[in-house]
Amino acid sequence: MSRSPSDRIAGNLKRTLAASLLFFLLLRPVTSNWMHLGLSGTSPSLTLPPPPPPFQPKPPSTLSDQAPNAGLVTLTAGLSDLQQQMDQQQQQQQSHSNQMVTQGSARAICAALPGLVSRQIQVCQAHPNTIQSVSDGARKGIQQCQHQFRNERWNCTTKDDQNVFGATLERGSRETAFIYAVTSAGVVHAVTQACSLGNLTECSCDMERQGLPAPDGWKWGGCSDNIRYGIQFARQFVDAPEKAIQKKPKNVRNLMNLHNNEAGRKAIATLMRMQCRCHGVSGSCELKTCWRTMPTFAQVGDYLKQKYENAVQMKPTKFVRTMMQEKMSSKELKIQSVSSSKTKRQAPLGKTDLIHIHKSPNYCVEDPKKGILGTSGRVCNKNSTGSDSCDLLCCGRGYNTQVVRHVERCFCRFVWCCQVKCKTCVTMLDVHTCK
Amino acid sequence: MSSTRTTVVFIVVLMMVLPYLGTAKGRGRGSKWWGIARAGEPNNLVSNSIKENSITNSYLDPDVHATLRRKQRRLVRDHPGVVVAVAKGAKQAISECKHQFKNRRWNCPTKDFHRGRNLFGKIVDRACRETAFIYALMSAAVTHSVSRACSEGAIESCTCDYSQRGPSGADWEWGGCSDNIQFGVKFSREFVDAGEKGRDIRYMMNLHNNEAGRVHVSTEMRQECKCHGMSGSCTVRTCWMRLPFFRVVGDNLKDRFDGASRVLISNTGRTPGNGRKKYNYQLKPYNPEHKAPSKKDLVYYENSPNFCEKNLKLGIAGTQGRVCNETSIGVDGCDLMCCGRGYKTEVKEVVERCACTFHWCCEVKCKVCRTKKTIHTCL
Repeated sequence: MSRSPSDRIAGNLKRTLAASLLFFLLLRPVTSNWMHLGLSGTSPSLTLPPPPPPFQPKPPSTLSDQAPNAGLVTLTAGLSDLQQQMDQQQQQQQSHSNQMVTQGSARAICAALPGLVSRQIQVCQAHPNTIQSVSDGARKGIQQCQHQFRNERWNCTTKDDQNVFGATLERGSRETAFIYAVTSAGVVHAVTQACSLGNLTECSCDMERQGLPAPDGWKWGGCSDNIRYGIQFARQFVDAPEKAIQKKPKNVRNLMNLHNNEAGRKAIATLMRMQCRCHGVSGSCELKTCWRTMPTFAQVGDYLKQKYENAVQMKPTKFVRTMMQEKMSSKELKIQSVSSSKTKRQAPLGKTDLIHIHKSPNYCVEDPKKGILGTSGRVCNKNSTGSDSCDLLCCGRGYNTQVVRHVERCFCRFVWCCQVKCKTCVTMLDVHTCK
Repeated sequence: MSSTRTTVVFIVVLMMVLPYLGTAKGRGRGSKWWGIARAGEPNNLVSNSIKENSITNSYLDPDVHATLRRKQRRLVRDHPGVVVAVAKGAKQAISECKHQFKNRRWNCPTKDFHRGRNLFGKIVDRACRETAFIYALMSAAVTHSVSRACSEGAIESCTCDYSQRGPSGADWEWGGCSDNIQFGVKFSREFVDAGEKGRDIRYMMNLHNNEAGRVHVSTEMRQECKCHGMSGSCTVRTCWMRLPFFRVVGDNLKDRFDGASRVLISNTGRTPGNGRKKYNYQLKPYNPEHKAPSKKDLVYYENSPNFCEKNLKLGIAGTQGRVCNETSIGVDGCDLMCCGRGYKTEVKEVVERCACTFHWCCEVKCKVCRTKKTIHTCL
């Protein structure tokens, strides 16, 4: 047992190195890599036998080749006629059943998806068909994020690699809070929608109140969106990375992410509305059926953007303590926020409020280390006074002006029968971009 | 031995000269007259003539006189009374500049006047957007102030503008006293542009911005009318042209400041000429894809410094100690104003008069209120 001192030092050094490595791994910022499913929606790894949806549009191959929420519009448009949907649901289920993923192939597909934690792989293997909806949901979330922030300095930039949002997610800023909430909501929305459309075997419409009479004389009927299943699934899948690490060191970021994920899910739940249809003689409302339906995802986006504007900054220490005490279970968390005026926030923090722990950078100047692209080169609106105005967007650096030839069809008229004749108009537009 | 001595002497001389080589000689040459804005301040021992707005004595004290070029002195001599208008205009320009930039990192600081030095400091030696704005505003102010002085009868050699633009309307006629913008522009061209001779880009930049300032005044001229019918009815109406409010000119120039276009340094070869020909040239933009500057646009060819830190060489005071707005995300917000250095928050008690009431006759009684104000200042 006579080790030389140098050996001992080397041994100590190794141990400290190993310890610090472990420490680093544990404390390293958690990036929710599952979100890349929203980008690689049609990547080879996800080529499940595509469910044959009559309403569901083909997912776009890349994000950029489609307007931010074009897919969303078509999706929600399809939802409007629920009656028709009900008719086709049965056909779907029949055709669907022979396309179910076998246990073996599910395992292979789920293992091939990069960036999932073990709990997520388990969920994936248990519900291989739902993964497509998760991917749709993540994409919806990202598109909605880009739509909501198209006029802001931070415009929800995504990268094409696995860590979709780059270094942005390493900060616990308001933007991160929004990303977590909106992607989580996207998953709920997509999964619930898939349930109603009958694309999934493990869930269907919410039949809980089916056929029950309501006090006002109408009946519950139709296909209520099964939001409970959607929320439950999203909770299992989306929260998994945070819970995996949360077990031992209670990381503030994990708590923040969990809260914001839940806020996103709750946002959909609070926006659920009722739709009714009258079946009386010539459409009179003597007979009425009602069902609960989800908001459009654009509405969810607007709602979450509102929450983003009023996001609450938390003091990390106090935050953890209260979260631990209340174990996320109580209805209200009375937490002291870091308010600018150093006054205590009196209103209790609601479940749908977004929270963050870091201040946001100003996103003005490019900083590759922090994943900030800067606003140089962004198109700004000279006549606006909002966040897209040249004054605010360019952070006082001024703007350049370019003349762009804008060709459009104009003076269209209808010629009998059946033609529309148009002229082409060329206008020169001034486009302003930030310096 | 003697050769080493010569080398040493050479090096010493070089070291003395080098710092001055950095700033191009005479870059802000045409700006010397700005010192006229300080005429009438107690430290100048100015003849009281300016203070009292007397037009009889147009000669200045030696300090202000020294700021003028020979041609400008001649102009002042030829147009008695004009110097008062020019000084008034320059002062107006300075206060307008400070107003327009009060919320920005560069807040248009001016130095106390001392002979031969520039009023706005070393920023004028650069060729950035701020410089462009100062030149345009100064030139606009002289145009504005001289035009107004003409119609007020303060300058002996000009009067109201009686030349009518276009025919009268169906229910109105030209009449009254129009502000003499023609004289204002002509005078400003001669006076303000007096120092801008040569062929290099800096002169062209100055000329362009000076002219842009004048164009902003002349295109904002508006028609004003008055009714002279029975008990003020509009059966008889006379109209005249009135100068815009100088605030409007300042606002427009500030807009142009934001959209100022950077031009190529290689823009040269202006044909030396007088009169209108002098202003007939098109500057090429730095980036060929960008729009070429129009007559109203401001031009520059050097990037602005960021004005964050104190830099004596560039004459920048930095934003330390500046008051900022905590809630704004714009340039007046603490985040951008303080350049990320952070800020301190103080609560100050402000004593002001409040709840004033009028008592017959004739008294106003007020209470004294103490309110607490939170002030954020950059670190």
